[in-house]
Amino acid sequence: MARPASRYFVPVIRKISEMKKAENIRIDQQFKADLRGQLMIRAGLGEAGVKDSIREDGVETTNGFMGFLRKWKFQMALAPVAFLLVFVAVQSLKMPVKMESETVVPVAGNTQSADVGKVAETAQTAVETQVIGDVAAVGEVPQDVGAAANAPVADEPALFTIPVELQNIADTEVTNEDVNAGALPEPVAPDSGLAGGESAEPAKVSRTVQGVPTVAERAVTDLQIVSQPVLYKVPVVKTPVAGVTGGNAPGVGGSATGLAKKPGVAAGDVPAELLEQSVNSGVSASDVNTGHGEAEPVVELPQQLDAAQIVVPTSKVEIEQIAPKVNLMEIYTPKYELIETPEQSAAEVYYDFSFGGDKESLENDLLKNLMKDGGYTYASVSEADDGVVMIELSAGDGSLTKKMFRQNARTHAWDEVVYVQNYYFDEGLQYERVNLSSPSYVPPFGDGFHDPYYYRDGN
Amino acid sequence: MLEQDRKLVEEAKRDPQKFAALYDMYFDRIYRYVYRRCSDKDTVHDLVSQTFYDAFAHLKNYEWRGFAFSCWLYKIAHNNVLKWYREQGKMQMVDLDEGANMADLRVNTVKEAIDNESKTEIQEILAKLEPEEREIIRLKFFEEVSNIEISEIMGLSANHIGVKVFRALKKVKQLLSQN
Repeated sequence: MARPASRYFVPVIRKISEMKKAENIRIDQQFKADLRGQLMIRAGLGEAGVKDSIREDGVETTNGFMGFLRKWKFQMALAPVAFLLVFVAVQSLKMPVKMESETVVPVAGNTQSADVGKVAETAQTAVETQVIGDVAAVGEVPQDVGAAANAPVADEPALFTIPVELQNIADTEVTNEDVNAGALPEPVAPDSGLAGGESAEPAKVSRTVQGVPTVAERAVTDLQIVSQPVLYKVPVVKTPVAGVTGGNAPGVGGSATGLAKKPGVAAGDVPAELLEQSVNSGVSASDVNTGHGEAEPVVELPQQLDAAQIVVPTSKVEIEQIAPKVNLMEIYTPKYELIETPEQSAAEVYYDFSFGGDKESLENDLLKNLMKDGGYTYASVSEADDGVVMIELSAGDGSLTKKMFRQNARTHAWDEVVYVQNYYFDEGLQYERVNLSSPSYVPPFGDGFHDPYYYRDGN
Repeated sequence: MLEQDRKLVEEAKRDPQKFAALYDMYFDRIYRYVYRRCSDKDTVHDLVSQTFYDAFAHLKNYEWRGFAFSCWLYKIAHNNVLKWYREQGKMQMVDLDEGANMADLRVNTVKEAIDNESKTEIQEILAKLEPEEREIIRLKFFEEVSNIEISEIMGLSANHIGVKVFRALKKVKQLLSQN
């Protein structure tokens, strides 16, 4: 490679030198002097002059972030970002909030007849509904009918539990217009013939009440409420019992005569038309079953009333129409203590202890399958160990099976627990397996002591 | 020469008033260097003044590395010129017509005409070089800076500068032969 100063580049360098000599750059002496003077002034100022000589962009580096933001292009970039944020915020504020609830919650005293169907469906899910009023209202009447007329709804709701079986008694929808027009469906004849007057003493009634507040209560003698698989607390309006009469209810039959022996309640005080409506709007006869089951608590009523004559109005309007016509009835309400029945979720399941775990999961996930697969009809749940429940399953033939389960805390599944007896082995001993049929086998402990395993001291 | 620079720099660090000696020594070279690269007189003044202001402000940070103080001033001027070009958004060719306008009127007009003819020819050739090659040619043959000092100014190795100088001269020769 030829050196730049070699002869190879002599013509080139000569040309460049000529060009350099040809250029005639005149130094601006005035500018030179001015600049020198400024530098000396700053030099005379010392540190202040030196700092003053630092260019502005150098100063900006000490505050780089603000200098960065001052750049116009970044400010332009912030504009669409800010617009986007504002747009999102506005759109989020405009989003509609929609709340939907298909569940009809029965409210005591407010349930109209049109809602009976929905409420009945809700009640099928084995929920507990409140009973507002007094169970005594089944057979008793308020002390003051006038007051009841003014306040048809109970002031103080009382809560208690009635184990009942869920049946559909709200097949027909009864409205106020129907009551006024008297065009109510005829009650179906009961199986026991109680409402038809065939039975003068309806001793045992298996209450079949739909979990709605408009269910009429039927007063019977020796009313026994039978335990059934599902527990309900049925809201009942504290009834003015407008239709309680003695023998004046057409269609009720002769059994009604003499049943309503309330003091002061005179036969014929209530118009027959009203009574007929009341009776017809009461409990359907098909809903009354007698002669089976046992119940607790047993409510002994102080009087005998025909259940067919007890009517609970389906609405406030109906109450206002009926109540003023029975002002003369003297009604008293005895006080009953609330009896708490043991909580039962299924008739076939008996809890031997206070089960504080996931009862719903136990019954739905475990017991239901166990009883279905094994054909068991009765299950008793007791506590076997801490967190372990023992389930005794009994079949119809009397066979009994015990199983123990523990709920997995993570998966909430019920795992079967099997207790295994542990044997103790001494590692200091030597164990040998011998063949008893071998002629060389000699019992170690003499005759009559045969054990397939024996130990031999290591020494 | 280097020792003189070193002494002046040390004195200027202690007493800023001593910076005047360095200023008087290198102002003309820096002025020409900037002038060759910029066509506007005001721009030349701005860049030259900014170069000396920067040198005056950061003189305490100057470290003696065995090069002439002029290398540091060339480097500052080089960076300022590049920055000015970036701000202008263009890489302008060196326009010496501006300098011609500023030429001393005492120069012989005949000689001036001959020089201008040669200047115009070499200007056209330099204009065909890459900016980096053109910068090296200027520093090497106009400013008479050694390869080591050019490497210090441009931030390249001395060997690399030597190779670039050779390639640039070779390209200029080819262009001259073509003309």
